[in-house]
Amino acid sequence: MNMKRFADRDLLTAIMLFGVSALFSVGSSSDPKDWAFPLLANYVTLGIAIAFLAKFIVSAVRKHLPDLLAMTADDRASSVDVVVFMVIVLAFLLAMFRLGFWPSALIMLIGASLYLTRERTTRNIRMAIIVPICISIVAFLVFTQVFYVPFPEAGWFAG
Amino acid sequence: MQTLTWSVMFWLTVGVMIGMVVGTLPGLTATMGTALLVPFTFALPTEAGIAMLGGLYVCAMFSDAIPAVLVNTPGTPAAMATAFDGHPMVHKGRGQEAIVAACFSSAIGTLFGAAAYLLLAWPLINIALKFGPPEFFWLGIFALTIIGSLAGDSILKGLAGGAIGLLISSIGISHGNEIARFTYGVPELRGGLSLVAGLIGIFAIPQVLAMVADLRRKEFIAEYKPVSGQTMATIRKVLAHPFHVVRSAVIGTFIGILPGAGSPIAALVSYNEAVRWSKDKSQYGKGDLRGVTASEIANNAAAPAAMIPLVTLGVPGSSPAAVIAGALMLRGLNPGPELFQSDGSLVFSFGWSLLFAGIVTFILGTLFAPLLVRIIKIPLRLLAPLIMLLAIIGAYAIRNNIFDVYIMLALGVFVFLIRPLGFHPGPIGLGLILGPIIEPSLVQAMYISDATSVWNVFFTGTINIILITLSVLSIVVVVWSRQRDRMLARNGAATGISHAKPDGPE
Repeated sequence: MNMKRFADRDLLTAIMLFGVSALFSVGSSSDPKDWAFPLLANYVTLGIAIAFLAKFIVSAVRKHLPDLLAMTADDRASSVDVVVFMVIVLAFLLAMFRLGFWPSALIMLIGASLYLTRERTTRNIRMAIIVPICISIVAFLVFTQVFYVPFPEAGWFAG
Repeated sequence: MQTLTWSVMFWLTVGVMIGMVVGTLPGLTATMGTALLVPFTFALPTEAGIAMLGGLYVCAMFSDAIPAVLVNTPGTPAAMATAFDGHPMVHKGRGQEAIVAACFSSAIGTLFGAAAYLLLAWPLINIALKFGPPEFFWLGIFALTIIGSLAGDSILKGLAGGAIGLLISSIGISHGNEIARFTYGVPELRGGLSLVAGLIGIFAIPQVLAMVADLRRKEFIAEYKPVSGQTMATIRKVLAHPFHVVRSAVIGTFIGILPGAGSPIAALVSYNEAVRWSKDKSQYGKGDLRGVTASEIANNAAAPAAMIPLVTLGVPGSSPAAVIAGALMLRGLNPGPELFQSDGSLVFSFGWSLLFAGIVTFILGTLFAPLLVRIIKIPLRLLAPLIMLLAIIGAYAIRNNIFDVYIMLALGVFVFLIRPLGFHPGPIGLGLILGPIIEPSLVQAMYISDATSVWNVFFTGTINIILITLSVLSIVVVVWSRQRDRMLARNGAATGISHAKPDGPE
């Protein structure tokens, strides 16, 4: 079989649904009341996964044109942007317990805005720094002074 | 008519303005807003304090549409259905129209719900009392048939999305014997997933990641040019469908009265019915104004209607209504039939204040609409990190639990990754919202059926039969209309005429 067929949308959908179904495979209990609901939902997921797998197999056997998940060079560059952006966000989630929520949020906002700024003109860079500072101040005032949300505090500076 | 005092009107307007902020920020729900406001109301006379809470609740049910429309992120779960058509309208350069329509529809819904509260509280509550666990189960199943409208080009993928949402909603302690399900040894999962964090993850995070991915292709969400006279033109468009308006308001009011159902279910059922009754279904999910109005009229009609069981039976119809009940109790007033007899003027004063809250919301909403819609002109490079921060704060603030943020991000990345396979966030969000309604009702009905039979519990009774018939009808209509559209498209292709192909939300 052509290796390209493994990027077929039907096959990938089936694999994903099998994965979800396995993740939510039902445990044991003497009472069906505990499992009837997730069991029904899981059967639906599993049934649809089998349907997509069957569709893929039939399509491969009959040598129909596969519906491939294609990725252009532009898409690959965009994927890198998404991954870097998520890394910045995850770094923020880790840093907040050391630096405190608001300082790390400010760093995350500035870092992400600077990274996502394609045209690095002086004006754009200034915007990527000033806008996050203003947003952080407003968000800090709204969420801590009006709504009293207790955000994680800085571990490094704690006594 | 004590509501008409300047003091009450002033505090009502303050409540509306706070509601505008609460609804707009994803993660801050009307329940949280009313709960935070309760201590401030103690310094006010009872009428003014309760009017302020009512104003906040009503306005939050409108303002949650603002992020739903502009950035495809519902401010509260009740605005999920608004995003289905509201956000595609933004992409068509009709953002201001969508916001004005949401605002006007919210006002209509509130006026209708408040009028029902003032005039029909007792007759309506008698019908609502006939709803038991099996009826709630079928109501949830009926709401689930909306998947047919949201499924996109594959109904199977829509169904699978709904099933995934239902499975996610079943994480935590079971409703039967309280055993832990799908917790994988993680203690934080025993309490279940936060619905708000889950919805932010399903809607906001994929949207933010899509913005980042689109940065190389476009600078803004969409183009926007202010249109003068937009408000009146939109009002005329909304009122051009009087049957649609009344149907949405009736659905919202009735579902609002049912304790536990609330505005999200009202909006979803109303949207589903709007699609089902429509002659031209092809535009739903692609920026049809009727999709926005169906959802907004119903979720706002449900807000005052949720107060009806509170003042007639002492049973709150929604979470914010429960907070308002608490505020009354703290003042020594017991909501229920007793309150009608002991302090009837307060009950009616509250009804009037809800009605005026709808009008104040409309005035403020239309004034700010041109300003709000400018959000879409913020460059994506600044908007994406900002929405991410608000999503993290929203997911965290609901239970002050960082674990909810992790779950939100995980769900968001998952939905972002499966979008290229043809999955839409709508059915997954629908499953997540309906799971907590359907499962407890199913389990309670199963307990009842232990004493009699499954057939007697689930398949007898007028309401059950009506809801089952409606569900079957809804499925048949969806399957039939998809077949018809497919046939038209095939015939069109053969004759060279293009027909709209069935498709879901963009």
